[in-house]
Amino acid sequence: MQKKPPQIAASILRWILPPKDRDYLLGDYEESFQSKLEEKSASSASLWYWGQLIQTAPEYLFESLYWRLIMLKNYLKTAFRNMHRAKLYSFINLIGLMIGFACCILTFFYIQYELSYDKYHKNTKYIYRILEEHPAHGGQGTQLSNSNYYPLADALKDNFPEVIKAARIMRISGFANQKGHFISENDFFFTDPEFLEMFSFPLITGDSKTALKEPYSVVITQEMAEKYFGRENPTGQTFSFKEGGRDYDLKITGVLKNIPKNSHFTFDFLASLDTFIGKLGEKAFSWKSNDWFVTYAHLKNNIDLKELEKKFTALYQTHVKDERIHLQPLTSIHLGGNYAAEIETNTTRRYIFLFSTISVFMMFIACFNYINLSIARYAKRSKEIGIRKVIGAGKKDLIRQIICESFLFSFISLIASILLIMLFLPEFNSLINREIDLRHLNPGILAIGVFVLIIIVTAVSGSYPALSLSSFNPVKVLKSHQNISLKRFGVFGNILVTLQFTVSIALIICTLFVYKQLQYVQKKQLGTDKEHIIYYMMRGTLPDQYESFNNELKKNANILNVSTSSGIPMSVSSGPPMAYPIGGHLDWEGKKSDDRINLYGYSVDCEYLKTFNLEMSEGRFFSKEYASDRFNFVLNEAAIKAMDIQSPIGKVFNMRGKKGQIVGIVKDFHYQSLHEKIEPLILHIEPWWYRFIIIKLKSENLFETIEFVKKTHSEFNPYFRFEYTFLDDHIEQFYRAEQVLSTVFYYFSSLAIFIACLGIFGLAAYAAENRRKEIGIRKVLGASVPGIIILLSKGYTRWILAANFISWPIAYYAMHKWLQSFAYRVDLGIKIFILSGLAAVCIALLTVGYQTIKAATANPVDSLRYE
Amino acid sequence: MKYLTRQEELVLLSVFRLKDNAYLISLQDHLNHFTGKDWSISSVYIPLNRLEKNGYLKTTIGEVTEKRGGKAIKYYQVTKTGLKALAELEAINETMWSGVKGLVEKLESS
Repeated sequence: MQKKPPQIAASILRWILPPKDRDYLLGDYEESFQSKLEEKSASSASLWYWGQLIQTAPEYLFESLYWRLIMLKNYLKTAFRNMHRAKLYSFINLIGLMIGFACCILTFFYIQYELSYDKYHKNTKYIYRILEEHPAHGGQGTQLSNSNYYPLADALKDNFPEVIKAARIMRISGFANQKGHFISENDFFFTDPEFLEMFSFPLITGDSKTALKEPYSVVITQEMAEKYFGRENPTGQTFSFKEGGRDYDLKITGVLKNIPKNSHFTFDFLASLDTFIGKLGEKAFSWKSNDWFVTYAHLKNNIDLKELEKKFTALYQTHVKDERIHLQPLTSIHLGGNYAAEIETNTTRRYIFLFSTISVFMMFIACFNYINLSIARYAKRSKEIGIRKVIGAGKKDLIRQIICESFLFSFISLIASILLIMLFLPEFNSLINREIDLRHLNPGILAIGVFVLIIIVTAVSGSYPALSLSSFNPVKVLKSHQNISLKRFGVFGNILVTLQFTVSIALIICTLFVYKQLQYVQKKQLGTDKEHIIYYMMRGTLPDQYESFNNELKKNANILNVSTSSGIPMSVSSGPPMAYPIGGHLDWEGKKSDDRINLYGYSVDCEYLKTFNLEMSEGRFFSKEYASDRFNFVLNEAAIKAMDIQSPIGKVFNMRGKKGQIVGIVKDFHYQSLHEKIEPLILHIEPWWYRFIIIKLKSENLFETIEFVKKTHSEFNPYFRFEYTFLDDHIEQFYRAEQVLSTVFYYFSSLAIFIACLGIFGLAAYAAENRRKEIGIRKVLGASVPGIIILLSKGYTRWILAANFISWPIAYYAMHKWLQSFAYRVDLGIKIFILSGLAAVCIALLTVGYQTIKAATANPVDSLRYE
Repeated sequence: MKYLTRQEELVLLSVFRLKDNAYLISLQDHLNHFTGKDWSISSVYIPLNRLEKNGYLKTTIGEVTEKRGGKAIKYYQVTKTGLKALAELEAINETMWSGVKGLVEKLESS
């Protein structure tokens, strides 16, 4: 029995060897193998065979690649020549693909950046934020909030071995002393000493273990060190900070590297929490008092989270009724949406999904352009393809050539898009309010992403032309002087155009609705005034001198009103001015059930109503004439409804031991964003809570009046800078996310319709050229110019109208979902749908109009003469 | 004439010398014997293939044997172009080497 060479090696060899001589070479190898077998043992002969394979494989591979490269060179040369010859076609394809790539890559940057949040800590995986679930304000369902009570962190650490470390943070805003002047600082946090060990924010100077151990110690960021101490060494220096009538003289124990922007919260100052406790007294930090703290816990590895949440909740409920604890991994905070009392606004996964879907659609629109145009283009090049086939190019070679061309187009536009991105990255960053830096992105992942993208684009745009064009009969083309018939392709091409316009029209509809909703929330009657109102935080000696300051301001006729309160209507919940949720014990005359009611509360003064131009629906507002108003309450209509109270005026109300009468009911006004319903609100007078001065100005001489306020302010309060905000600016800020969405949609939809129109422009150009003779004959036989224009545009109109009907339900569904996030929203009227559809049809007709009119008005003699 | 590489030159010459028995394995043996170096099958095949492509060699397909695992044998013969190329090579070699004869002896005696 004859010995055979090793089977695996033989089959690998078979695969590598050039097909032309494969059999002979295998024979040669086998002959050598048999000779070896005669001299030596079977195993050493096998070894020799394997050795041959390993040794010779690269040589054969190179040999075969060499010839492929030669062909590639030819393909590229032809492609370049064709690109050069058909400039319009190349231009349209390149621009479209470039925009598609730029959208995809920017979205890719964005996603990578969003995913990078909070990933740079050593213990990232084991750190969790404690969320509490409590009954929602307003009564129905529950709400998650990230603020907890002070004792929680210690309780967790003491009772559960699974908790390695726990730290609280609490943000306050106040004023810092810069060489005698006080500057407003909003990112000042108090925290536990363990914070610096738990998170890995690197310290430049100081020791993370001891930096915050002592009360009255503070660590500051590099940026702040430069701001307050210039070139001096800040360590050991004293840093003065004022907040809520309290002064802190803090010792700087360390300097932090600047906090990366991709953190779910950033801070400038970290002071030891004991400092704050020392100032307010232990009493303010029990289970029964303030829930101002965000608690983080570093847990052991491999923990059953559900089990632990249950154990935490059991402990928690011994102190706080009806509330549950949830653990949120640090890495999912940024993408996890916003809970109550969030320090900074987070992204939602939905936005990421939205942006990536739209970018992929943009890419597809560009690819469809390529497919449509290259089919039209190859039809003109049918002679070239025919001759290639006659000379001996197989189907595979033609496919290779066409794919090669589509790769070339993708590659050139990819390079162009990278340049485009570099140019527009700063604008993009300011648009989405992020700081994406090319240097911070992971180059490996980026390279893989771009590589995969270009492969996909090449495949999508090249595969259909490659498959459909490589299989036609060369004899027909070369013999008949005719181009390839595109009949078979026509329907497919039209479907592609329809899809392009479906996406474009859907985007236009969404853009218009987002814009309309944004207009709506900005223009809606809020029930309060918002124009010409400025406010600022009352600090320093102002609270003591408020009366005389007030009188001084009122001397100016341009100041309509001055008021003070604990909060401003329509303000961001995470910022300093807010309506505080009032929990705890509430009681009133005629209370019917023990159901918990959550009230938002403002502490106000007697001028509040006039300043914001609120309206009363019943009773009266607080007045200086009644001394007892210090203990009385005004509720809004929503509160009365929630409390289910009959003829409320004069009824006794008890808010955590403060007992008084309900003297009036204020008409519902929006004191939160329009995402939220108007919820129960209580107004009361509690001077301890006053934090803002609100000044209503006349619309004339705004600037002078503000100058006057500034002057008066510095007379009363020389050490504090006058930093004010216009209420309407503040409200604008509130819809920042929607504004970003609106702008992004605007760009996306403009680009989509632009690329789609480029595509049909190119198609129309080819169609007009192909049908030149037909048009000539029609004209000779008496067709009118308008008749021919209609003939040429009919096809496009039909398909774009079809696109309308597909896109409407999609856009309707998307917008319906999006508008759910607003308690107050616009109707999804049919008008915008029709308008967008008509706009798309008009734009498309205008685009093809140039080509069709040119074709229709051409002299038939020119097109028919040389026949 | 395009210049041939050294390997191509040696392989072409071997095919010429082996006359009717020039196929891969015999060429390999021949080259191993005359150059004293170890030629692998691929290092013979690649120049051989290139010579065939460039028209210096023509081929005939021979018999199927069991020793070759049931595969046919491919014989190579030098074409007219190949002969011309060889003649040119000879001429170039002669002119280039004239006057520098006896290098081997010189190297050995020094």
